[in-house]
Amino acid sequence: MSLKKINPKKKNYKKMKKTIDIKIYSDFIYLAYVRRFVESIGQEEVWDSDVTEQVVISVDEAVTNVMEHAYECKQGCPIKISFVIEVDKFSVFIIDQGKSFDFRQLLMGDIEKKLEERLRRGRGTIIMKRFMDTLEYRSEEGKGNILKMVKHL
Amino acid sequence: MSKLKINVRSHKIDNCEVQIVDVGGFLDAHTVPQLESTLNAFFKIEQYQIILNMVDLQYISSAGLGLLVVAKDEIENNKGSFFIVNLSPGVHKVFDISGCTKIFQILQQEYDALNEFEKNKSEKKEL
Repeated sequence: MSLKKINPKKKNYKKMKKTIDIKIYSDFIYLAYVRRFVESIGQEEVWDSDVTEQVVISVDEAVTNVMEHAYECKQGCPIKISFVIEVDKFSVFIIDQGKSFDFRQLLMGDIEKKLEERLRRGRGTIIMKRFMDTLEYRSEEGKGNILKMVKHL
Repeated sequence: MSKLKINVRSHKIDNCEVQIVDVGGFLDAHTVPQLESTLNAFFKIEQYQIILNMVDLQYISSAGLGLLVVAKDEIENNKGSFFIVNLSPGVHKVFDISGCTKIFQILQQEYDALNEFEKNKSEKKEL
């Protein structure tokens, strides 16, 4: 884990952009650790508990998606998660080297109708969309798949 | 460590056995197989009258909700009944935002669900 751009001696450091990177491997056992980590950011930044809960579940859903879909439940594949903390927003970048998927397709159409259908899968993306303010997904040759989620604070 | 705690009880209404599953802790993609095997064990012995008491459930993700959707279908296909009771506000919010409050029969207390079973039983007797 690396914590960049923090100098507690510097004036207004709390207003500065803080970036934290973590790396995990595709195994569902890591989900609990990631949730605890995000929760600790929320506590440190004194977010409203609702905001913390919403960000925690969104990150869980995104990481689960990578493990299930990008890596097709294969264990031991790398996942990088970057958290960028700013005064007015919190951004999360989830980067994997697995299979890309049509994220837009999942979010298109009538969400209410989709929710009423008894789907075993697909609710995670809808939870992320409802709890976070923006979701962007891109897949780049050589760089992998990047999901960016932003929550305005 | 975030774990899932499962405890199984049973309650008899006339000759019908209702299975009550107390679910506590964290229900995510990692812990879902535990609850799945508990429910599958009921289905194997054709027990389709089930109450999930989630009073101690602190967290649920879509992986947990997906399992519950599949379980409900299995129960209904076999003419059983499935109730979820005692959701905490945080867990209820996840059910709500993901449309699951429209899919499941969610009641406040365990005895509310047992009353429903009693009602169903007496309605069937009258028929």
